[in-house]
Amino acid sequence: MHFVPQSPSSPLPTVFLSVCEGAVFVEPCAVRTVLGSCVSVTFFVPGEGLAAIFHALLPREEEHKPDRTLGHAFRFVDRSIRTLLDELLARGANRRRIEAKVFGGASIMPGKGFDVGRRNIETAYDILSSSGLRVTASSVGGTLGRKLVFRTDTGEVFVKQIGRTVTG
Amino acid sequence: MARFLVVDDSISVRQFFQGVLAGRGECDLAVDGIEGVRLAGRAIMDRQPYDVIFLDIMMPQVSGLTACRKIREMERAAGLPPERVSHVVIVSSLSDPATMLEAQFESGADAYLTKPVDPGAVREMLCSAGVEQTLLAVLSDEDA
Repeated sequence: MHFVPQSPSSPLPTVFLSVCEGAVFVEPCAVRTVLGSCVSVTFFVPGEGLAAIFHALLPREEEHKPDRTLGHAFRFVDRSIRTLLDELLARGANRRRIEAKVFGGASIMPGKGFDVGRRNIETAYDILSSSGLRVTASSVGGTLGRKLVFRTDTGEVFVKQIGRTVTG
Repeated sequence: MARFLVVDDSISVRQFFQGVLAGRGECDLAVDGIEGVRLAGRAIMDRQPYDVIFLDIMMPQVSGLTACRKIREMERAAGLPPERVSHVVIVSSLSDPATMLEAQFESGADAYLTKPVDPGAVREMLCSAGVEQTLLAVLSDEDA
């Protein structure tokens, strides 16, 4: 995750979120990421100045052997949700007030049988539901990648579908 | 000028969208799925499809998910290019995983909003549909 120069039309500092990254934000900024079959879930707690987002690659940690060459905290959708939810609760967030939004899960290689995009979304919805979090908005599936910008000060998420294949 | 269609059997929801969309384009209203499909079909036949369609799910006779499938079928039958098809947003009080999955993976919706919906959420959808300029230039074409 790295900071990039802010756009002239955007007063917010901008952060680019790469695959397998995630964080809690307490300062206003615009978090950008690009999704294909990967999933981003945004969390926003109105009035409490807390926001979070991750960009995960695969559905469930239990389905994969440990790989010490890659960071694990935000590689899997299930663990990513639990990690950020725990962090938000530790910082005093009221679970019932957390707004979650889900994005990504495109089938960027349709017909290949193993639809990881859909499984990523199923996992995100299931874990959020079982964690008692409300999904207020989502834009998932399809065959196109998505560019996403998340405002950590308002919880707004702007999505643009993109035609070319992306990696995340 | 952008064209919107709101399909919901609740008059308060239709009035909410009518208020939020006022000044942003033309807004047609339908009171159930049958009327929604009829209006969307007429727009497709006239080669003036709606830019954004907001669809409730739980409506008498034809649900929003069925209506969404029918609209997608009509768009395909009319041979609309991808950039002309409507951006369909399901707006429902249902928030269970199965319904949200079906709406976007099987029924062809582009996005899903869970009621209650605030004006900011509608604006996010308009930006994502490309009918309203996002404040953030980081979504600009040259950046894609």
